[in-house]
Amino acid sequence: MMLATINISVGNHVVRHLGPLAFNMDTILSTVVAGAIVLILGFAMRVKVTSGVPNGLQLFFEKVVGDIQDLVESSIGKRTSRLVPLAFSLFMFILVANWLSIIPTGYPTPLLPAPAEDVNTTYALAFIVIIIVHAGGLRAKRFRYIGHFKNPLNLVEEIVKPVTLALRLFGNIFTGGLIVLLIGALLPIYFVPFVTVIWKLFDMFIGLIQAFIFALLTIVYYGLAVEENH
Amino acid sequence: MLLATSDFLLPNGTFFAEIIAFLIVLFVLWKWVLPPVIKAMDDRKEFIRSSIESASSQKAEAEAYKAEAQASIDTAKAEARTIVAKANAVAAQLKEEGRQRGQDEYDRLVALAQSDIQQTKNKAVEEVQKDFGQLVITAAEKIIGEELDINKHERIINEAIDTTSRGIG
Repeated sequence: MMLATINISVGNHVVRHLGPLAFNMDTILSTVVAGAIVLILGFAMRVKVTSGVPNGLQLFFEKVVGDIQDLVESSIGKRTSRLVPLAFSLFMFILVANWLSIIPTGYPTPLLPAPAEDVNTTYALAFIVIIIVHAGGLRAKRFRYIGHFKNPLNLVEEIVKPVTLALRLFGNIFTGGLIVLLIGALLPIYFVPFVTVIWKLFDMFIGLIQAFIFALLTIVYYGLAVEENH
Repeated sequence: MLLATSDFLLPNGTFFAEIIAFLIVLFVLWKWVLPPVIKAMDDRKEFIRSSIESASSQKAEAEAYKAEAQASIDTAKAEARTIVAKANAVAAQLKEEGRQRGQDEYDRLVALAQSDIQQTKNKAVEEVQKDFGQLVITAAEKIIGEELDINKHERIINEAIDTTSRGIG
């Protein structure tokens, strides 16, 4: 059988050790590139920012910021929350990070894999989100917020939230990379570029949706945490 | 066959690197990128709001001016109508006066002429009567061969004059 000869390895990273800690250098490189792209876009926008007629880049930023402000307003009732920069940064970073894998940087092991193909990235993002969510809840409700965790179901829910947040993003993006590998491994070579392009276009869509969902759930969780009579 | 490292769902040191990386992105976007975007959006919103406000106030102003102008036009039209009517009345009056004066002059001239004619006629008749009386007397004297006493024969003379006068007049 053909299939028996195919070896696809997943979860392999370029690992460097620093003391007791292991670092996945490919993930870190992708993260740095994605972060740099976000910041370069941000500063490129900032240079030409105008309250007059905005250019395309500023229009994109304004669209994202405006939509996030609307979501935040509908969730916690005010547009000027600190939640806006968090949700905005999450959306922009995850979007650029996901779209990074569209660039072919090597097969089967790309130089720049999508950072969210590594659980470390999604755990880190979910960790930051859940810290901020609980901090917001504590600030809004003081000790009443801790009372909320006496119910074991609520406690389980609060543990599940960050885990699902992280694994949903990881699963979707990881699968995207995996399917590129499968396309390359299973299809005749002359089909591969064609099908890969179609898949990557669809993967861009998934990347956009996942970035949006991550930012949206952050806003929703924060809204639930600070909401009264919950 | 899928080969996976055994711990591929467990985090390692990369987790901390990712946290630091995202916090840097968050911090930079928060401090330097978002404020100008939000300010530009708010400024534009404020500009549009004030533009709409000033546009509606200017519209109201323009409408007030328009109404004022219309009122001025209406006043001017009414004034013009009054002036035309007045001028027409004056013209009619002048015309009537002129006509009246002409008529008066005509009447006066006619009356003058008539009285002149009458006077001349009267005078002529008088003269003719005077001459004729004398002529009748003379003729009668010649015919009857004696002198007529104007007082004695007054009736006869007058009858003759009347007869002839009727013939003349």
